[in-house]
Amino acid sequence: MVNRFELDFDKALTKLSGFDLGKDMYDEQIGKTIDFDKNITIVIPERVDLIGSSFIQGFFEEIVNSIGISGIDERMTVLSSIPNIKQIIIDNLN
Amino acid sequence: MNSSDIIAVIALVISVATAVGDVVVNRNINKVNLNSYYFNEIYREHLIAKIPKARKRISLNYNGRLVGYEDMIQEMKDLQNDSLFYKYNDEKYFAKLKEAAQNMEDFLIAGVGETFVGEEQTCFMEELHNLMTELYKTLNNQYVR
Repeated sequence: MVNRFELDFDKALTKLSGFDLGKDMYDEQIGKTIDFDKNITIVIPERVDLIGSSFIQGFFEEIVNSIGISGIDERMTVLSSIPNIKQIIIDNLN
Repeated sequence: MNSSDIIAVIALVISVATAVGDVVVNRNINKVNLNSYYFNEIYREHLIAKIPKARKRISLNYNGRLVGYEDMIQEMKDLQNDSLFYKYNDEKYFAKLKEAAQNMEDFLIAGVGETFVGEEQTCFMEELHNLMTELYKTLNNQYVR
């Protein structure tokens, strides 16, 4: 199984915010098939240019619970048009 | 036990109670001083400079579009990150602060790209003011605890 997830949502959405939206997106698109024993790649559509801390915390909550922030740092790749997205994600997890 | 013994016992009880009271008062003062020190170390720059400067930049432009929001969104993220000390020291306050900061952040993100016309502009600015007030209230309450 390829542990790569390309997020798919409303084409009009260019900014992501809200804990519930993040959690729902994780549950619907990733939660059932993610393999925490492998490296993980998440692809955020290029049109997304802003992500709020609430979305990050909702989306990554289960991932943090499973592999920790250090696991995200070491084993996750996040592709996005937002520069330094992975560091932004790590900084906003607590 | 004669009357002078009773007076001596009362004096002893009073002096012990006074000493205990002093210890409690001093301990509370030290606690308040320590909390003030941590609070100042963590929030001084945020309260005096970063938040007001970020707020100053936010406005609705000539065609009703939200501009100058970027610094405040970043500041709300920084504020949460810098408050991590309280996650382990005062979890209830940390949750409240996080909620206030994220409400501000989410409100601004939701406004980006929208066009605010007439009364909508007034409503937007009022809500922004309310969120600022809530944020400062949360911070101030922690300081005066």
